[in-house]
Amino acid sequence: MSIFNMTALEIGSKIKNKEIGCVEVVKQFFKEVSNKSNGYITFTEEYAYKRANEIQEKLYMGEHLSPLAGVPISIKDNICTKGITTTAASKMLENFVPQYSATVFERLEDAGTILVGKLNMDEFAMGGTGETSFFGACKNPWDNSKSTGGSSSGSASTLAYREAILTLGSDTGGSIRQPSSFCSVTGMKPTYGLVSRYGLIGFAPRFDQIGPITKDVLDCAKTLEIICGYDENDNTTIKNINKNFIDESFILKGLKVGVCRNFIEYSDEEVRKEVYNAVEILEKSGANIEYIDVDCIDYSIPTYQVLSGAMSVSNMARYDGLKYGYKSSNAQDIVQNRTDGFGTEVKKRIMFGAFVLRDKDDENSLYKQAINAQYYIKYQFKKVFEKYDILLAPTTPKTAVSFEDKTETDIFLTSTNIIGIPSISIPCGFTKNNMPVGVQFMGDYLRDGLILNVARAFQKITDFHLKSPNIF
Amino acid sequence: MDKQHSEILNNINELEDICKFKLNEEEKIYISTTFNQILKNCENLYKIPLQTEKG
Repeated sequence: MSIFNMTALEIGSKIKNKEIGCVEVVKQFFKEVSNKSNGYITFTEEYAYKRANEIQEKLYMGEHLSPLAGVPISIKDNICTKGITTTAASKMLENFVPQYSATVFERLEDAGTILVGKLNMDEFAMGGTGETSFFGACKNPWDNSKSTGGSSSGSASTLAYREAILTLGSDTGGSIRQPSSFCSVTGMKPTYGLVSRYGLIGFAPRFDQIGPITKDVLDCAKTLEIICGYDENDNTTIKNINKNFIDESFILKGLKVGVCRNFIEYSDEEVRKEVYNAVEILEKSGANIEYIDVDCIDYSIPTYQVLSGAMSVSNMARYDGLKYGYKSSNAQDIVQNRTDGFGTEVKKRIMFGAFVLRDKDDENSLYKQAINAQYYIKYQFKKVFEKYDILLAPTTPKTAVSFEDKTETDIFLTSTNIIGIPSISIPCGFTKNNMPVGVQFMGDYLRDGLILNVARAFQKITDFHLKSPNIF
Repeated sequence: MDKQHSEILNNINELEDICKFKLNEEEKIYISTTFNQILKNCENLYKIPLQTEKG
């Protein structure tokens, strides 16, 4: 059986049981992968073989490694990998080779996983379609005329195309969950502070989180267990967390689920149908369902745009082409380096941030209104989590959109970044045209384990996550 | 908000100076148009009552 038809944990188990060797897995990976998805910016073949031999040696010596030891991983190209080009899909960093690795990558290396490539994305994670990448948009195997979503476009697309086993993405305003929904894979944005951002080329540090995008919830949970936890290089990380997320004895009976009726009613008919079906599945399993309205739809996107834009201004100021990054023909000319090195979407976001920050101290400034809205959104969620264990909603109001369609498909997602709570998107059905629909479970602060267990319970009794596009 | 839109166009040179990059004509049109749409959405933020620590 091809490794691309197995989950990461299944491959890890076969390696552990000596049914297959690490080098054999890497060989099969590079033999079968052809980048049909345009999801890879860089392949790390030489590095991967070297690592495979090292991991194989460790396993022979009986060294205790994680259940993911020997598994090929692919990482979004805004996560620094020492000695391996990390572009953030920007001309600005086309030839940037980091001198250190992100903490998440170090932890995955320590766990014995093997990096096989760096993944395409929207430039500097600014975008929701993948098309702002300097390296071109990825393809969605469910329909090549539709977007993969973004900004973690390569992570979702390569999994759906069977060109990856396990991936990491980053999520500032839905960038893990929206492409996961569009490509029918499992993606999670953890609680803010659960995962270190050290070595992430982010743009809005208060909203950015790294998270797994995988074939199923078990792979997602295991990856999160490896990458999460306190990091002295990122003091926003949380100490003393419980890392055993999956409880196989977990049951849905008695779970109090608040279903976001206003999110569902805002969505397309076919999305509504599949999400209501997901609600019914939970209800039949004994969950207590109540329909509620969470008042954030009108505010989440503008709040996100103002605050993330404001954060991006200083965060992106470091890219000047002097110390590193793109150099124009006149290398000392910072303005020219930045003019040529950044794409239009990146310029737009930085400029909007500069615009709102200009009058930020005025009594009625937009910036102050956005801060006020952030408190308001936080309060809306606080109220519902006093009554419910989890919230359920569509991940996106539409299935994968065409590139011309400018619908704000992250409208149900940005709130969780604004207030730092966890959310997971999993497949929950398909439209008549065989386009995937995703459902998201949101949890209160640090209830990552709970939403993972709910998602796992859902995948135990459904097979939406096992379906593949007709191209195979 | 229309006032803000024209303000963007009028002040785009100043914003370019702050951001340390230049826009070509196509980018200027795209960005000023998009700003206008974003600012229209932002009108919703002014409808939210002033929040206290308890909401």
